[in-house]
This record gives sequence, C-alpha cells and structure tokens, in this order.
Amino acid sequence: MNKQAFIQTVRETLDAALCIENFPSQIVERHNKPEVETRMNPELILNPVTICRTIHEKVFIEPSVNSVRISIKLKFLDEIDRILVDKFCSWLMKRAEMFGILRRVPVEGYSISLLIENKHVEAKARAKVVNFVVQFLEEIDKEISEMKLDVNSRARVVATQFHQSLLV
Amino acid sequence: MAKDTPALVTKVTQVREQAVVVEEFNAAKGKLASVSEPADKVKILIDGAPVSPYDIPEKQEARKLIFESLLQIKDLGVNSFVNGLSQKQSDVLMKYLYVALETDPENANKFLKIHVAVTKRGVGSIVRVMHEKSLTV
Repeated sequence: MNKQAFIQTVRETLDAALCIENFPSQIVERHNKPEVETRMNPELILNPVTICRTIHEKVFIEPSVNSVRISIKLKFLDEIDRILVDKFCSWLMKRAEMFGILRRVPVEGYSISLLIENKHVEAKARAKVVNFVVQFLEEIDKEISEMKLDVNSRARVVATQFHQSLLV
Repeated sequence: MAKDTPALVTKVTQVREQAVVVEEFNAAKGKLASVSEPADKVKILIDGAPVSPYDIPEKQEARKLIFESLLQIKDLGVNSFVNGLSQKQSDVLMKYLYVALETDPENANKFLKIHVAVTKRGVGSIVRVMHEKSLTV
C-alpha cells in the first residue's frame, strides 16, 4: 500500500511538473538550454519538491519552465545492496545517450538523475514519459533484489566448490 | 533620507503584514482547545496558517501542529476529511504535505495516503505548490 501510494504521488507530481514548453535563454542570444541546469534566471525555476517513501528512498523533482530534473535515491540496506545499486546505476548512466532523458551524473546525494526537456515531451507523449519514470521506480526494487539473489547463489556455489577442493 | 524612504516603507509594510499573519495564526491556535477531532483541528490550523514569504518562527510551530493532527486522522476518515476542504484549504494542505514528505520520512505512509486523496480532486494544488514561490509554509 505504501509503495502504491508513493508511486501514485510521484505520478501525479510528474504530471504537474511536466507542463514545460520551449523557452530560449534570456541571457545568451540563440541559446536554448534547460533552465533547471543553467539556473541563470531564478524566476524560471519553480519550487522543488521531495517525496520520501522511507528514510532511505526518495524522489527529488526540480521543475522549471522548460525542463524537469528528477533525482532518485534508491534504498540500500547493506553493503551488497549499495554496490549493486552503484554498479547498476553506473551501467545505466554510461548509456545515457540511448535513453535520452538520463543524466550522466546523478545529483549529489542521489543514485540516479533524469533530465526531461521540452523536446522530449514534444517528441514522445508526456504520459509515456511519466509512465517510463514510474515503471522504472516500480521495477528497480525487483531488479536489485534479483541481482542480490544471483550474487548470493553464486557466492554459495563458489564457497561450496572451494570447501570441497580443500577437503579432497 | 529621501533615498531610504522606499526601503523604510517596504520594511514597515512587511512588519505589519508579518504581524497580521502571526495574529491570524495565534487566533487559530486559540480555537484549537474548543475542538477535539483531528480533522477539525487541521482545518482551523490551515485557515490560520502563516502562509507568507516571511521566515517567521510561527511557521515551524504551525508545521508541528498540523503534522501532529494529520497523523491522528484515521485512514478511513481521510477521504471524508479531504472532501470537506475548499480549494484554498486543499492548496495550503498540499504545501504542508510536501513539507511533511520532505522533513518527516518516518511517517511518509500517512502523508502519502492523504496526498493521494487530495489529488483525486485534480493536480491544480500540486501546480500551485510549485509555482507560488513567495507564499511558502
């Protein structure tokens, strides 16, 4: 129930935040940059919101007039979780160009960040962009758990083989 | 003196408006003793909430009182509480919910349920939370 309410809250907040449009730079001629990244005009940056599910897991949404930055902090309860999350997010961020909306470097304090600009929302339907982010949030926990189970089962097999070789 | 006058007038106006906001909040606090239901307490506090651009200590106190009252609302009573709010009250409540979700993650479960109930009426409140940069709680 907590997860459903969290996902629903994130979905509704993204629906409201992704009302973005093309807005060329007011400072530099012929420049059209995401205002949430350049931060040259405070009047174009909207109030950021943080949605926490637990102490360990939260989503930080920074809207602006022509772009939205979404930062996700994934939960990790032990060292193996932390390593798996780091490796998985690093793998995704190295392929940021394929995703289009992924940021190569996460915002400080978060595991992964997405930057959605007006051109993404115009090219793909806004609802689909929201669905992508929500689906990512829903499935990431499952992915990390499966990877952890894989690591544990492989470690068990390796340890068994090692001990057997020692006995013989 | 002439050059300082506009700043002085602004400062005096600001102090007077701050005083009005603080007075309304104190009046709302005074009415709390007469109600026992947490939903009614939240409505009274929202009506007198210190929603303003000023950084005043009453904002912290209002947050504490509203969060405590919101946590006392039973799950089954959330929908009836939210349906009894006006548009303006929903907007103020939404501001407090986002502050709660940021600062009190241990009780996020309850705040998320109330957020879902409020957004059933539309995402207008969320848009106003993001756009109203001067009216903060």
